[in-house]
Amino acid sequence: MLSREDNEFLTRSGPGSPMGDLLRRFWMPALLSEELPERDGPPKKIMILGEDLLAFRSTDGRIGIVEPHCPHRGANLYFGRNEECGLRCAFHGWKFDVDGNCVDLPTSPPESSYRDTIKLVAYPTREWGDMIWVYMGLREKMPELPQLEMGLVPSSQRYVSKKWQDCNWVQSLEGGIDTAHFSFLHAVLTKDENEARAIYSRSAALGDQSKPDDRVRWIRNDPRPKFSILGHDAGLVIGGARKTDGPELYWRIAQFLMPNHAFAPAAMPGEVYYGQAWVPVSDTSCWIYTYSWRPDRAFTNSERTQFDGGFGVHSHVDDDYMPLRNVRNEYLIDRTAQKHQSFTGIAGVSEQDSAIQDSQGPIQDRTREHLGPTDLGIVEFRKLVMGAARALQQGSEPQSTQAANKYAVRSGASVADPTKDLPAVMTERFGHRHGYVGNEYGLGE
Amino acid sequence: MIWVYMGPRDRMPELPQIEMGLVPTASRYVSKKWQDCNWVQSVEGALDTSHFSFLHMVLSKDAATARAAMAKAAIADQTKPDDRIRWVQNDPRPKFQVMGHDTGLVIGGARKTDGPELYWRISQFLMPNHAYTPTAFPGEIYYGQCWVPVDDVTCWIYTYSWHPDRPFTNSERAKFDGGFNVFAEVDDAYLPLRNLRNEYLIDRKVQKHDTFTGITGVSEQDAAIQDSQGPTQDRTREHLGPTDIGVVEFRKLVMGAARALAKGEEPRAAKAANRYAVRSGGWVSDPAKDLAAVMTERFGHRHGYVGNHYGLGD
Repeated sequence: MLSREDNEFLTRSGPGSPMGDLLRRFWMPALLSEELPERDGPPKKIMILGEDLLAFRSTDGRIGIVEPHCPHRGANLYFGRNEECGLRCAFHGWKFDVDGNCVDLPTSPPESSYRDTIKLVAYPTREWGDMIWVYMGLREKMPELPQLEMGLVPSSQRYVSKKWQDCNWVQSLEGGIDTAHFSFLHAVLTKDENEARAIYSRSAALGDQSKPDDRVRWIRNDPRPKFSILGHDAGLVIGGARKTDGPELYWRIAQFLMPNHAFAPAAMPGEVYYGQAWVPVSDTSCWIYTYSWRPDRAFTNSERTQFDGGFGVHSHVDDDYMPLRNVRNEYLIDRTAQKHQSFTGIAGVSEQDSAIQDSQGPIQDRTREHLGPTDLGIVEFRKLVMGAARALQQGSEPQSTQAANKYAVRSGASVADPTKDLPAVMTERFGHRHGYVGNEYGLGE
Repeated sequence: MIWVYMGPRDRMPELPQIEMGLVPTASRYVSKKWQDCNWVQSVEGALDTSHFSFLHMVLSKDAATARAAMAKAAIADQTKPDDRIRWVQNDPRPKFQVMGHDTGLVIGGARKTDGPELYWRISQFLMPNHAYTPTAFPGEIYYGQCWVPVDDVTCWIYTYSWHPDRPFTNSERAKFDGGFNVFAEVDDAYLPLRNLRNEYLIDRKVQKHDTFTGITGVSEQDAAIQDSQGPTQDRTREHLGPTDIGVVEFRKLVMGAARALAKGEEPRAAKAANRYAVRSGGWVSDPAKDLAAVMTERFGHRHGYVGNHYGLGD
């Protein structure tokens, strides 16, 4: 339970808010690369952290993310001309490059130096991992890009998408790191294992299920995983251990990476890894960037087709990345299916997540919540980000901005001896207590 | 049009004697269009005639092609081909002069021509919310607009045109009906077909190859850029320059009048209804002549007053 003040502190990210200041110390996914396919193509209106912005791909391929209003008379550069390495206002021809420099000011004489005094707000951008990233914070504090493994593998081993979500980013992220809900929200009703596996195989909630195994049953039978949390330079390892048929424990281990990434806990060795990044649009909506990757081989065309249709964290979206099943159509909930087949009657793991997260309200009222032992990951997440936001207000920079390489981690599942604690399980599963794999990419030990 | 007076009864002025109401009905065309922004930035767009070198421009340097593309009348009717398109294209920095008079402002912008003469485009602002376009050469059609706030983030723009010499033909009326010059192409409720909600049907291919905006229609180009300034333009962030003098003088006039009224001083334009009978338009003139001289040469009066043609006095 949070006080009203703390709930505001945690969830508000507009300009000048403490959490907004913290988020602005990190690189944010701003767009998928495919959203700005052509040089000199139409600019795209975007909103991030409550700021209206305009993104465009320049003649030289570089990306500009700038304030939309021309400094002259405030006309929106969206209607402008993207040409010859800059965006030219349609009103009086003032022109700006991707760095916000005014490169032409035709209403002033050529000899005038007025042009040099005019600047458009422009944020630094990078293109990496098939995404366009933006840094909206203080220039002198700009960190390196977080070295997520999905960006380190070859493009053929990566799949990225995004999905719109109609609620505050924090409750959605909290849903991503709370792995206890798998015993309910994503559960199927049938006790027939083959049928259950068939249903799950369409969703990837419990690993790919290409080889039948017992995970479905273990999850169903133990709704009270025991949680352990390990902090590290870039975030948190969040492990939940469930009983199996024998003495071993079935661990499902997620990663939270500062300030807004989470990796899914399902992958057994050889399976696909999934992650998500929550980027606030306003305080009551966000884009969730969804990515999956394989360290060992390229994705097949059929795997990509499967992701396209909604699978794992990837939602089934339309051309504007709006999930087909969303708040406006009640996620196409089928009450008959809910009665007989699945816990929710909603198709798709991602859609089940978004239904329940949106249902918490535009911004969840945490003054009325009641947390328990299975909510430990959420509690630790809040401590970490709220602590970092408070520290930043007092002048202390977040440590994870200095640890870009430490984002090269994996998360996933393991079946382990019950005497082993989370670091031991992580070491057994990934060769490192925090799941660090940067050494495989030359990022150091 | 139906007019309303919403002020104190004892201050009710005469109707402004704008020429469109003085000519016979046959010589007049009126319409209206919805606009999704504060009225002031939209008036300012009309008084700022320097934007013609960009917003309404065609990309082609070939005079015949450009003329065809501008058939929807950004730069005069172009029934007789002339050089105005090229002059507007080539000089994005018109030199502005502004003259005040009893009912408003004459705002002139002078561009270079091919020779020593200057090409003047002169508009009128009439208190508190009318503006006339700067284009008409003698014998061409006059256009005006009147901005009426609906609320602080929307307005109706009443659009009118008139011909002092003759009735409009049916084909001219049909042309206005379909959107032409200040007239937008509107539906039965006077909502422009190309508006904020459909991004003015901007065509990025046309923008790349044919016109500066890719938006069809001078009125729609204006609306797009004015709406885009925001529901109410944030003027704390603007940077005005020499081509914005008309905008600056307009603000001085209306804000000054509003401040004076707050202190009990009535606006003098309310007492000068006959002085609304003015014209505005274009002219090519000797570079030695100032705005007052150019106006006198073009209209026979330094403020473009034509009320004497209608028995309103000299």
